[in-house]
Amino acid sequence: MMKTPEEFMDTLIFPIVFLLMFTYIFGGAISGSISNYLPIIIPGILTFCVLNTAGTAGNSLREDIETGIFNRFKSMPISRIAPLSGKLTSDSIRFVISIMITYILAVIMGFWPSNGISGILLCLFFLVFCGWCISWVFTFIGVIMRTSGSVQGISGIIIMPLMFVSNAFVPVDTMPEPLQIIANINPVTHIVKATNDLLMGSNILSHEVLISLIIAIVLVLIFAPLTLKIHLKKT
Amino acid sequence: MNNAIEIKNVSKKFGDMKAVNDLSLNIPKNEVFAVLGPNGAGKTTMINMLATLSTPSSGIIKIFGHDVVKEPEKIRELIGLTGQYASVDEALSAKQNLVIFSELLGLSIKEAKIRANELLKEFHLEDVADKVISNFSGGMRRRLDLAVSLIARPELIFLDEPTTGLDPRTRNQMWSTIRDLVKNGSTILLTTQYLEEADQLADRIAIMDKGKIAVEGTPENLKKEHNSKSLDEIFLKITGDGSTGEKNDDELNITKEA
Repeated sequence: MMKTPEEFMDTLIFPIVFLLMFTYIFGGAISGSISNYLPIIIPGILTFCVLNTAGTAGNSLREDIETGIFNRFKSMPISRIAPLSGKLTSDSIRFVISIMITYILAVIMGFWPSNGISGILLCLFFLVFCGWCISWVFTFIGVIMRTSGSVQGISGIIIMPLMFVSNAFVPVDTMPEPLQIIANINPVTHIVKATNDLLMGSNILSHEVLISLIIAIVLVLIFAPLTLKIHLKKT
Repeated sequence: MNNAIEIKNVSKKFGDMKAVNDLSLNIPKNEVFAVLGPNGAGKTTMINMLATLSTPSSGIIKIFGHDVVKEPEKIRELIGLTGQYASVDEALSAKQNLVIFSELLGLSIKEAKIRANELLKEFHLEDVADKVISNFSGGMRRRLDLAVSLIARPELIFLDEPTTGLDPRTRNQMWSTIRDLVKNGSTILLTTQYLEEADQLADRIAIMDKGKIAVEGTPENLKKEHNSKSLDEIFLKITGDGSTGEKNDDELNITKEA
């Protein structure tokens, strides 16, 4: 990170740009006023940051594979999955950065979660864990695609609909019914609700938090072995 | 058992294409063995199978008596691999790379630092130890890459085209590094497109073409058998334009070209 600060520019700027844009462009239209919109948009932007950061995992893995360093790892007497999971774990610092930036900006804009510092910290751990789990999906895309460009493209195509057909930016009940059904089963909706509960809910360990954690763990259980299998097969 | 590597009837298919086709080869211990061949002959595919990066479609490979498919972990402890592309972390310095890979191999931080310094000295990289790799020249990068493969003092070292793309001066440096390795008793399998390199370094040579070993022997024997003064002639005779015409015609063509 210290050596290649430019790689972290998107992690830094992304939450700032989207939080400002959504709040000041759509806030009035969606919630009547900016201060009413902040409690809706902050969990949404936090989730968006995590998903977007997770989405870069595939791309950066693809680039690393292209340098040949993973062939070296494969020829060494070390655990097969360690280079992959190690990379994801070291990339977790990105989640922390983008989440913290969002918090700081949100506070500056006049948002303070009713659960205070403990809510903020719990939410941070929750989102970093979810982000790490979701990264495996994009790591999988990273090993099956041939070029980092196509990895980026596919990741974008997955992230955008997931984000927008959810409660991240607008209340779901304003959507047409079929879309509401999709939005309500969308994992992003659960994570946004869980984030909301952790920051502002009366019951911190709500069932939304549990559902989100289960989804995240299931994603790892599916995509980590798949990624490893394909990664080892391909040279 | 005097063979470091035993390859028996090994094939590797990618779809319909046989990159390695029914290849058999024994490589003795403590020798430099060069596999020579044009682009696409299957050299890298072979090395990848030997280094447990991919598995053969059929056939058996044994390294120091261990089967590559059944005991890959055992083999990974015995080998060092230097691929065609320098596989080090671009964002780190030479020393940091060596330390990190040493730690990955189970050395303590203290031991890793000692080993890193030894290797930096051995490979004449002390002056640039703290420079970031992305500023390295091609030759420096290859030397560092080789140094990383040697951290665990492997008994068998694979060098996949170690000097491709290097200028003649750096190539000479690389050659002397490789010669030093042999003095320490390592077995080296190197692949190359350069006949001179094989001639200079190898105790024995195999010429590979279209996934098969075409000929094998000491450089002297090959020259004698094929009645040629240089390996160049043998190489071109075997690999050059061999798809059409009779052998005699080919030989004629080569004389003209030469």
